[in-house]
Amino acid sequence: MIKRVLLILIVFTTVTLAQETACEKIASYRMNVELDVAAKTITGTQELQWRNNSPLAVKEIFFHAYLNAFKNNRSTFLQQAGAEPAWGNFFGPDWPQDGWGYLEIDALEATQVNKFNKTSILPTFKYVQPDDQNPHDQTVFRVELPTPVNPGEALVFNIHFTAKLPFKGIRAGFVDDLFFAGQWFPKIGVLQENGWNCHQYHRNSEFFADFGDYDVSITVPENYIIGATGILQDSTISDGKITRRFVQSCVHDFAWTASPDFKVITRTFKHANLPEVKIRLLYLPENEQNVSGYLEGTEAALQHFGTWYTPYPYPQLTVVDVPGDSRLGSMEYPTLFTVKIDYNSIPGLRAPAWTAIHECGHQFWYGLVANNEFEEAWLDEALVVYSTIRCMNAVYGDLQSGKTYLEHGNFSVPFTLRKVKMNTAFRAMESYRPWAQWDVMDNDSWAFLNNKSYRAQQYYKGALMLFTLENILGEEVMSRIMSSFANRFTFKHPTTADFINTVNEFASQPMNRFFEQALHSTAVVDYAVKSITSEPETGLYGLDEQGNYIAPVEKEKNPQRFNSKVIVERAGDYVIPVDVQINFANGETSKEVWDGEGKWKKYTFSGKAAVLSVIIDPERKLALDVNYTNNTLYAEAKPFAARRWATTWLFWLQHLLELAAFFA
Amino acid sequence: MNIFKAISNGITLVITNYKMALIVYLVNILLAILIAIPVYSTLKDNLSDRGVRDVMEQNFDYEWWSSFNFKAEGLEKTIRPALSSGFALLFDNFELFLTGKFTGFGTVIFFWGLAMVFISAFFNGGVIGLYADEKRTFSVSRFFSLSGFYFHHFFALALTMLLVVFVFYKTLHPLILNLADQSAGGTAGNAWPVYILAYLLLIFIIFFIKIVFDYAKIILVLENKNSSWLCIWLAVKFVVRHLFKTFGLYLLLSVIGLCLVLCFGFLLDVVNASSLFILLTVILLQQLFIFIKIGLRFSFYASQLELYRQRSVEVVTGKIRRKVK
Ligand SMILES: [Zn+2]
Repeated sequence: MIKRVLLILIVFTTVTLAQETACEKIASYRMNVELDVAAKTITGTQELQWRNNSPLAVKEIFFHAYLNAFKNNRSTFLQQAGAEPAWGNFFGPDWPQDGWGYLEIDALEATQVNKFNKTSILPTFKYVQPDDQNPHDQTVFRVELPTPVNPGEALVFNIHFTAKLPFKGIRAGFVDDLFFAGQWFPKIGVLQENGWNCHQYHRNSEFFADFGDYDVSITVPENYIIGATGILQDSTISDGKITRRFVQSCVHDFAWTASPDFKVITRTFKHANLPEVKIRLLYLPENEQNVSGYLEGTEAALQHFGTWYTPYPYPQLTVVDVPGDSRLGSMEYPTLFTVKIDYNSIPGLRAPAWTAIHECGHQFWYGLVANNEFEEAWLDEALVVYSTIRCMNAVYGDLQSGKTYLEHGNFSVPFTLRKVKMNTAFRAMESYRPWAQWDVMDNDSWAFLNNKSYRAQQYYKGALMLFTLENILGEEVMSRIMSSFANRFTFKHPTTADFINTVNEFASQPMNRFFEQALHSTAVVDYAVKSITSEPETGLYGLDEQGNYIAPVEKEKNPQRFNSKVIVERAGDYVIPVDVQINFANGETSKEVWDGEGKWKKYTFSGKAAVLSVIIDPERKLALDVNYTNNTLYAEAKPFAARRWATTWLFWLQHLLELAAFFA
Repeated sequence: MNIFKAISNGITLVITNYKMALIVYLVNILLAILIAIPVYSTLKDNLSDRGVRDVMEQNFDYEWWSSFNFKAEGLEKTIRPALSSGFALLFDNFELFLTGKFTGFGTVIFFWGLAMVFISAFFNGGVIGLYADEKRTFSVSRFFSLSGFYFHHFFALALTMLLVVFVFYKTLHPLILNLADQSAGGTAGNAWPVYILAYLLLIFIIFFIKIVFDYAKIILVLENKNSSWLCIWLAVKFVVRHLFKTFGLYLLLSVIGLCLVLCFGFLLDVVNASSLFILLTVILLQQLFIFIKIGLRFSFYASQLELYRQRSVEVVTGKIRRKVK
């Protein structure tokens, strides 16, 4: 056999960015791993350099072992996933034996200069369950050092591990010969002033980690195409296998994927005032129709978010398209994200672009501004959805509604309802409305009723809250808030309080009450116009001061003056000041501001014209308002619209009845 | 005799007796109006004094609908964006036949449809009875008396057809779609041809059932049979023996129907009923469409009846010729 050794050195111009050095490197990983495509395992070594950045001296070290979420049916993750109807039969009793996933630690040594050197601490290894004490959950483990590590001191861990990817796993796993490694390696928790922040893996939770440098060499069969966090340094081919080394500094996670089926497109994002970014798209041939949407979305996001918030600081961004019916989902990782488009998505809703913009948005909110997604997911999700909607509006304007016919499995016939436009923000409202009163937004991600409620709050209510904030404060103030927040907290771990403080710094008045209701209550915004009455003014009748009877005069045909009464109502329990606009029949308008405190408010007018209509919140500032239909009331009804749609409905039914005669 | 002649004879029969279609049309609209009234009053309550009426006069407002639909119940659920499209509201109905999800629009609509099946079974007796009779022409009393005369048989046939159709949607229908799933292969997103083929096969089977029951009715009337079950058997034999002719005729008329749907779908799609005058025009168009569709349905019966009559004459004359020899 001819042994062929080939060394390919790909020379990159090293792009050193000022910001990269600004990141505080706490956990840096060097890994050397190999994918066994038959066993679906990744085995290898890890050298982790970690620094105690907290004020505490600690002896115990906490690690995540996320893949153990797929180890048995009683893991916290699968218990929570099983409670969701959509995941009901997933990982059920008939799940294949080799379908489970796990992370096994084969060796674990710790080194601290002048204290201990390559000491095995594996005997101290213990699974712990800080969130729910579920004994079957093995997604967090702790080990003990020979001696405590003091603030500011550094440690090196040398770990041998085997990661088994789950079949059709959620966020990580394999489908046919596509492998996606997310949350796949032993990952150290975050040590904070109050101890370890190292949560178990929950169905709804995403992640939290410290920044550092990653240097990962991955070996796969030669015909496999790899996409990974960071930049490809070099590739070595030997024995039908290829080893590729990826390096990225100042990130807090590393994900990669490999498949022989990927097709690759590379493109360079260029924009005046923004650094160039190489976009590398890996897509599956069956999803070719989504490629333009992915690329358009990614470029639009890099441009708009780079301009609005902060420039994307890394030289490369990898986009990975995954099968539309897989559970890998659309997911963000530093300098890499996945896009999953339903095979039955409606073209007019532009799912490929929307998803790419959303996940690319996470490069900023989560990737750079790295909040704790376990505890305060809204801080990235809401900011991302808000940003995505703004970006979609800037690039595409309104979306086109549509529907699918004959939906069956992965097949459907899409149909565009060309007359029905919809604003992207409606989609946020539609997802939020059904769950508006079930949960509060700022809560641990596993404390929600279900996944839909979690998303309704963290993603959609959050985004609507930010739009409301923007409308109250004005676009300019809001953009200053967002860019300041981005720039201040890039490579940091901001909290909800940091965001509110940033808002209050720029807002003309403190917004604490606004946030209190939005973040910590289930209150909904719903202002409505309750009634309008306009009566022609009549003179005094009855008994006068002296007790003399005054007879009523007949109503005039063309009255000169009207007495009008308008009642507006707070139908929700969220209190927020609101504008009220009263339109009179003679074209005049009157504008009022209601503090919104009471349950209702009455306005009375006496003038030459009757009230024509009343609009509460005419500029639509309150994006959180769950029912905008009741915001406008006319004094007089006009049934034309109802007639138009009722006759159309009648026609539809007549046609249906005529078709029913088919069976006679 | 070819199928074109049968169709042209059939359509002539329908046109000369257009008053039957008119009666059935009146029944159709009356039945529909009964439940359209509450829908209208819901729409009136929700739209007529709200600001959204300005949008809904011009177009379908998705945002209004989304908050309306959130609280909608029963019939209200059938008010939907698809009403904004001339095509979509028709396709929504055709889709029921391909998916078998007849309760998709709720129980009220389902039972209204079911009622229509039996009402149509009643009138079919009159319709086919009159077409079968070459001498006498239409009169309202004759139409109704013929309907009554055949009703017990036609009711039994409708019931049997519903049963057959039910079995089809519970067995063959999922089987064929599962086969399509398997040949499309687990994760592949592009399996269009397979599913198109599967749906065509489903249409073929539905049409076959329908054609058999159509000829069963025709045989029952023409041959004066007294057992509807026997007629089904005779119809199966007839359809299988003349598969190309019977299917050819049915498909040809279906193509005419499809053209009709596409024409009116297009017309209703481009016209925006944003003023009273245009709305009245649109209503006229809609009602004309329903009337023509009823006429077309009758053309199926009339043409098939013509085809059957000619075929059996040929068979009979063939037999006589053989005897003479
Ligand atoms: Zn997200």
